[in-house]
Amino acid sequence: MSNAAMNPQTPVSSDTPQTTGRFIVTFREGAHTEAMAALKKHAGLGKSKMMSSAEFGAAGVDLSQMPESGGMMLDNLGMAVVNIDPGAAGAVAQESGEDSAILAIEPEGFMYALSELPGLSLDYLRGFRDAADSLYHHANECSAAGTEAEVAAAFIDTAALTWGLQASKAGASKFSGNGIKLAVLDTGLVLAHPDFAGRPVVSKSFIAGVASANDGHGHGTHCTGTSCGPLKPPIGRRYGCAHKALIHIGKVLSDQGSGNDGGILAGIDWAITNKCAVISMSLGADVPTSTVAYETAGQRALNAGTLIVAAAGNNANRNAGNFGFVGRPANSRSFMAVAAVDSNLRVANFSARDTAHATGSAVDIAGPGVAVYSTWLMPARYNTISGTSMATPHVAGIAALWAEATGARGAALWQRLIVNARTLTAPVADVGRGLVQAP
Amino acid sequence: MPRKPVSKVDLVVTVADSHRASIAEVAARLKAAGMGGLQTLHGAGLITGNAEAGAVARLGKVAGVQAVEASGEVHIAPPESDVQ
Repeated sequence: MSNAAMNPQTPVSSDTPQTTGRFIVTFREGAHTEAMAALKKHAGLGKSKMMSSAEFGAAGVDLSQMPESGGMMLDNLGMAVVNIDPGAAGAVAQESGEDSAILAIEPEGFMYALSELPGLSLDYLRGFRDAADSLYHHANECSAAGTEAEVAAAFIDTAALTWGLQASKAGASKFSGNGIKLAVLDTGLVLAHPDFAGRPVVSKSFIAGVASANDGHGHGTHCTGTSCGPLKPPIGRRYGCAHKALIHIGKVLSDQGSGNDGGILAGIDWAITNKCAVISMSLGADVPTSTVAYETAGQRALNAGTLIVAAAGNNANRNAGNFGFVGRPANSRSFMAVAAVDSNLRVANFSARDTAHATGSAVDIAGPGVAVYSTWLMPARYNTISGTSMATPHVAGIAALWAEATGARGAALWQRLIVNARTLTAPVADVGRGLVQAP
Repeated sequence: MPRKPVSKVDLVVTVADSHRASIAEVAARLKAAGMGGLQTLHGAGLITGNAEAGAVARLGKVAGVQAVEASGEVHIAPPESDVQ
């Protein structure tokens, strides 16, 4: 149970946002009755003291009609605005939290139109100017020394975790992808790899004349490790995101690393039919246009509850001024296109930018994709490599964590990943909404 | 395995939403119109196969077909590459 939403005992400091004295109560979905009962018990707000937005119809509520010691239920939002004293709010806060009927109770704040500053004093503005000056000089000194603000966010592989699991918070997540089916469409998996011993794997080959989905290249095994590797590998650090996901391996690329649209689409179809919540596709062609088949398959997958995550492509050489373009099939609107960042959260030299500016060609999100440690062919067992191919399974594995945490599927799961991404200073055309973050 | 004649192209047919429930009938019509090696993907509503290049326009006019496109190829870097 969490009481983080408010603590009325906390002294009010000068930088506390201005509040109205009222409180906003957020009800848990489907727990209206219990939440109302809790408000009555802890804040004395019985039904007679509560008005409802439904009473005002399409005209909307008039909060001035709210009783002085009472509240207004905003029915469509599952929230209430309440006039109660801080002591009563504190009592409600003690009972609120993730698992309670009341998710949170928070002081109602004042909002201002961004262009209108509410009567700030000269003293305040002077302080603001001095602080801004100080920040400006500090930033100037830093850039003179050749460092950037985000270097402070640098990550490094430790004995326990890869840098990618730290930066994406997958290593700290309490979720495991338990019960979530995740498909990796790639060169297959080393089926006898010791790191996956005892782990159920559903597999199928879509390569003509190849019966087994066993990996003879390494790429697919690396991607499977990143998305689904174990919580405690037999040796070395943890590198995998969704350690309890149900692994589905579709071999759509040969051991020579090539495949065709027909086999890839057959793999997508197989994953949809098997009700996989996530498909990880670290593959593509350097073609700037999409196809009706990929667009449609991606949309039908989303409709069926399957999110397809695909590598944006490695066709950039930014150091030489070439920003590349998002390749097929990641450039399909219905596929989530993934860029690669390094351990300083800077865009990787090879990571493709959306230079096509066509509908759907955008980069949607970024993942750790430089110097990524994961599983490889035996006897080497592990390998550290780079690519948007390595960023993609980070996003796919974390999508499985969100699927488990929230029950969201398809477009709703897409939304969870996007709204929870960590903002980066790099342009949207390079990293989309930002760095993927685990729940 | 018999060699595929050089003139045949691998195709991906997108079945229209309106005909997904009758995808088997669409496949039968495509076969009658000259498409071979048909594989029906029910989950995605697609049909893959091949046909002579000259037959592609005819396949596009089959009832229930949204699009007929050539099946492209993808390649990833060799295992020894640092960037994958």
